[in-house]
Amino acid sequence: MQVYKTFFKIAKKYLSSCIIYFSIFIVLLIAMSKLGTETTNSRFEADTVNFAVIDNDNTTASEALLDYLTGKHELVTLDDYSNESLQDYMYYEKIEYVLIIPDGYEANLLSGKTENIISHSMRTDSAKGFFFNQDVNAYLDCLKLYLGADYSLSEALDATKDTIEATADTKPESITFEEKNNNIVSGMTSYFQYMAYVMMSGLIIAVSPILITFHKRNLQERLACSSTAVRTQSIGIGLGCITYCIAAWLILMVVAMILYRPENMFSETGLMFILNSFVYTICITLITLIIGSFNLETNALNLISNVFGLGTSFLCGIFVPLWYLSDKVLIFSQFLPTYWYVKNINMISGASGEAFSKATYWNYIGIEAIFIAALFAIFLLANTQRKKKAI
Amino acid sequence: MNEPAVKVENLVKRYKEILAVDHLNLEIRQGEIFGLLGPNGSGKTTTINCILSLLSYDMGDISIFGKPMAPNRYDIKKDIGIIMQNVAVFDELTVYENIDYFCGLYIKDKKIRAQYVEDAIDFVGLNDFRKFYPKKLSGGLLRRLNIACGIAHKPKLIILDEPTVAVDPQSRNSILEGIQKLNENGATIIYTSHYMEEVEQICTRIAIVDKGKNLALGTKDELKKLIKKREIITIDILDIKDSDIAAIENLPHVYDVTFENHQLTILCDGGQHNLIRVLDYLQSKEYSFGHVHSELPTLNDVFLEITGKELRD
Ligand SMILES: Nc1ncnc2c1ncn2[C@@H]1O[C@H](COP(=O)(O)OP(=O)(O)O)[C@@H](O)[C@H]1O
Ligand SMILES: [Mg+2]
Repeated sequence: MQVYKTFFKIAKKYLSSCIIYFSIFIVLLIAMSKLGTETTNSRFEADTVNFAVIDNDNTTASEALLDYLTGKHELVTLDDYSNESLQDYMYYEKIEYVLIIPDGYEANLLSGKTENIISHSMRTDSAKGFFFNQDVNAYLDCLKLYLGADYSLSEALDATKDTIEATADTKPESITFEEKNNNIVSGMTSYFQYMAYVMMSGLIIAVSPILITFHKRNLQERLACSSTAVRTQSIGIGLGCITYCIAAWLILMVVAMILYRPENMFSETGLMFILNSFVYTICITLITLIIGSFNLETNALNLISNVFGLGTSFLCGIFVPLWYLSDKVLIFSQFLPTYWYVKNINMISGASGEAFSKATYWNYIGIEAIFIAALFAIFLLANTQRKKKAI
Repeated sequence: MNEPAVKVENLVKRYKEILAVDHLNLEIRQGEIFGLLGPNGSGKTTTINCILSLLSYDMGDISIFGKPMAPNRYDIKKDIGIIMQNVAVFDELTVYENIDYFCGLYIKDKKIRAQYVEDAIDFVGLNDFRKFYPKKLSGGLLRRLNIACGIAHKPKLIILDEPTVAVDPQSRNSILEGIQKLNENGATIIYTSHYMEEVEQICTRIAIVDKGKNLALGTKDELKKLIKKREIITIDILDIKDSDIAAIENLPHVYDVTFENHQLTILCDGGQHNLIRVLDYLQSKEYSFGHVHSELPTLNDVFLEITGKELRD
């Protein structure tokens, strides 16, 4: 394939910019994986959540719940429990969570009602509240189980306390294990996250100029006159582009293997990261092909590469975690494939506090696939437009 | 094999409001160097692009070597080589790689291609520059590379669209010689230009186009016969009597005589020995004269007479 081979001859000329991005990436990565470890440590301290309670029930059951929670978290006593001041306390991070035990909590438990027997309010942007919520739910689930098994209230409360504490007792062992694992997972999380930026900027900079070269008007005339069909030439160019992008992805995967060891990369978590990044690579390939369809000057191309690379990185949670971004920004971010790629990574690693589930993982992959379909349609459209314009 | 190389019948091409080609007819014979002469904007490039099926057109029929041309007629395209006004090469590839790439779009066999690329490099004399990138080549060498890329696959029909625009005279001459050499090797050439000297120098037959119309077609001698003015004689002379001017006007073939700024200008519409007759008459009247000049008409005169405007830009 003459065209395909020439694609790489030309690619050599633009390789240097790609290598620069790659080097920046490695430096960023080392810096970031250090920061990443720090966040992991602070997360363990953060397991203690400052919370306030409004207990309108004041029964044995409500006191038992409070007893359990104060054992794990910091109960803060406030001067003022009005709605407004509670919001203020939360805003200034004096408390993260307000537990509201309504009147009739115990009665509801006994009558077998299980839904909505307590309520709460918490900071939506904080993962801490989420952990606290998990503790409350774990306690209630357990309690309901005993009550459902016809334990008396006091028996059930005792049994729940024992069970919960027993689970907590096994924790210290597993923490050391998890911590080690967590360091690697958080390292991989940073790696795959920053990879999105490098791929986006690097590939636009390195691959689009090759496409633009082939689409130069003067050349186009000569190429269109030749006895090789334009379609055959386009396929050669497209395949070259795809090969280039996948090769770049493979290299990054090999580097990841070296950094995080194959056994971690081929673990379930690792494989999920890998597939996610592969699907995302296809998105970027298409974006590159689309940008390459326009006759851009080098300067414009650099600009676009930066705008796309940096812009999406900021909007989609690569440089700033998604949970720090305002809802308005996030509405916009949802229309970018990078958002779903990063969201998926955070979900897998648990960094965002979003509960892990396989179904969610495939949902996000599915959304990325929809982006691929949409981008492909845009690519076809851009190409027919370009051909029309050339003539 | 007596089919015309290119036949254009009733070609009409419109760009929205502009009528770029207006019912144009051309028949280009195999083995000739055919010149398409016309000022800028006369529709030469548009015509070429239509012939090559790069452009769709509103009306007309185009056949090449007897076969109707269409965008997917790769069997026809393989015999055509094009060299456009703008240099069309890859900046990222060397001289050799460029020629090899374009040749490869036509010739799949590697051995044959390697030979053809060598032939092309020899032909344009870029042997010492094969590893050079286009950016490092001078303007003239770049043009030669451009030509090599267009002819490396040894096409039977070569179309050159103003290949000498913005080229220094020396490179221009070598380009023109190259074209003649390609023709001697058997290729049919279509050559467009707005420089009539070039067209006159190399073309066997010429079509004069303006505003998308084919105004005249023939060899350069045939074209020159189209116009009345065949010879212009100018003579520097101090003074001359009106009666003598009238007498010169009555000499055979003379149709106009003017006297201005001590210069006598005599226009003749053919015949031979016009200059001698005029000089004999002046000597018999004992006039002494200085500089004498006789000029045959150029294609520019032809163009001027047909369209009423100058061809030069
Ligand atoms: N792409 C185009 N769109 C609109 N008008 C065009 C286009 N190309 C050429 N023209 C017009 O068509 C006429 C013929 O142009 P062209 O074929 O390029 O002339 P030439 O090659 O003889 O200089 C000119 O009036 C030019 O302005
Ligand atoms: Mg032109």
